[in-house]
Amino acid sequence: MRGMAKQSRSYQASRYGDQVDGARESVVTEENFNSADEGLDRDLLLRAARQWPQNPGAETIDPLDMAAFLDGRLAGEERDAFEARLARDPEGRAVWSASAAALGAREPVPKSLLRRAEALAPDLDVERPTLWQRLSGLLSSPRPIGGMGWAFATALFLAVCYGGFELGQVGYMAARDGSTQTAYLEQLPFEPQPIF
Amino acid sequence: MSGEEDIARLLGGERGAWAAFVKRYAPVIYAAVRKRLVPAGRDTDVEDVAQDVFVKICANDHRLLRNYDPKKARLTTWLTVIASSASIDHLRRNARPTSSVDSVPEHHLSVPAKEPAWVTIPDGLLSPRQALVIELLYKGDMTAAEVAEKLGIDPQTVRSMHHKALQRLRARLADEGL
Repeated sequence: MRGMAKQSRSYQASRYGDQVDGARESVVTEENFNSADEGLDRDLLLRAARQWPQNPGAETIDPLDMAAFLDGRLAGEERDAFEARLARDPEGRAVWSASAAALGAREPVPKSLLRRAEALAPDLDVERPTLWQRLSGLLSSPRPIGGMGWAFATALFLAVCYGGFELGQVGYMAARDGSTQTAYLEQLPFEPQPIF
Repeated sequence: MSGEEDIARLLGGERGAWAAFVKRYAPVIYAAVRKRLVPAGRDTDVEDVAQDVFVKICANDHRLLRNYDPKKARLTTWLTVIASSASIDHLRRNARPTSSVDSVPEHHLSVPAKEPAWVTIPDGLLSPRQALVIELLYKGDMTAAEVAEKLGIDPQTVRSMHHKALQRLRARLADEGL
C-alpha cells in the first residue's frame, strides 16, 4: 500500500478550499462532516484518508495546457491526463476556476495602466513623430478651436500689433530727430608700477 | 489581426507592435485581474497586478510569449490564465493582514486545532474525470450544477460520476477490511 502511494493521486477530504483570500475557510472535521447536499459521503472520504497515506505533491500545470483545456481543444487521452492533473493540484484548480470565470471578459483600462505598460518597451516601440509630422498634425487638427483658444489668439494678435506699433514709433522718432546716442569707452592709460 | 500575427510583429521587433499589443490585450488582462481581486477586497491592487502581468510578458526578451502556441489555445484565453494565476499569487502573498497577538482577545486565540484529512486514492481506482468531480464536490465545495457548468457536461452526468466514484471507493475500502 505504501509503495502504491508514491504513484497515486492525492485528495483532501476537507473544505480547505481553493479560497486564498481567507473569505471562506472551514475545515471539515468529523463533527461537521455529514452533508445532506448532493448526497456527499464525507465519512467515506475520511475513512479513505485514514487508510491511504498522504501524497500532496503535484506537478505545476502549464498555462498553455490550461488554456487549451478551457478552449475545449483537449480530447481523449490528453483531456483525461489534464483532468487527472487538475484533480491532484489545488492551485491548478484555483487558476482554472478563476480563468473560467473571467473567460471572454474585457473591461475599460485606466489610461495610467496603458501608459505604464507601454513604457515597458520604449526602445522597441515608441514611434516618435518628426517635427514636420507634428506641425502638419497641428495644422490639420480636426479639433475645433474653443472659446478660450479664440480669446488667446486674439490677445496674442493684439499684443503683437501693439508691440509693432511701439517699435515703429521709436524708429520714426529717431529718424526724425537725427539724434543718436553714442557711448564712449574711456581708455585709461596703463602705467606699470614697481612692486617694491 | 489574429493573436498569432500580433505576436509575430512583436517578436519581429516591429515598431509600435508592443503599444498595439498593450492596447489590444490590456482589457482582457485587466478584466481577469479585476474578477479575481475585487471580490477579495483588493480593488486598489488591480492596476499593479495587471502591470506585473505585462512585466512578465516583457521579461527576458518576451520569453513567455515565445512559449505561446496558437495551435493549442486562443491568445486571449492564454492571457486570461496568466492574469488569473498572477492574481492568485498576489492574493497568496498578501493573504491576511497581520495584527499583534496582544490586540486579540484571549478567548479568540483558543481555537481547537483542526487538521485537514488528505485522501490518497490509488492510481487507476477512479477515472481522471471521476477524480476531478470528487475534488470539486468535496474540496471545491461546489454543487453538481456548478461542476457540470465548469466541465461543460450535464449535471446528471456529474451525479452519476460521483455515485460511481463512491461505489468504487466503498468497494476498495471494503476489500481492505474497512
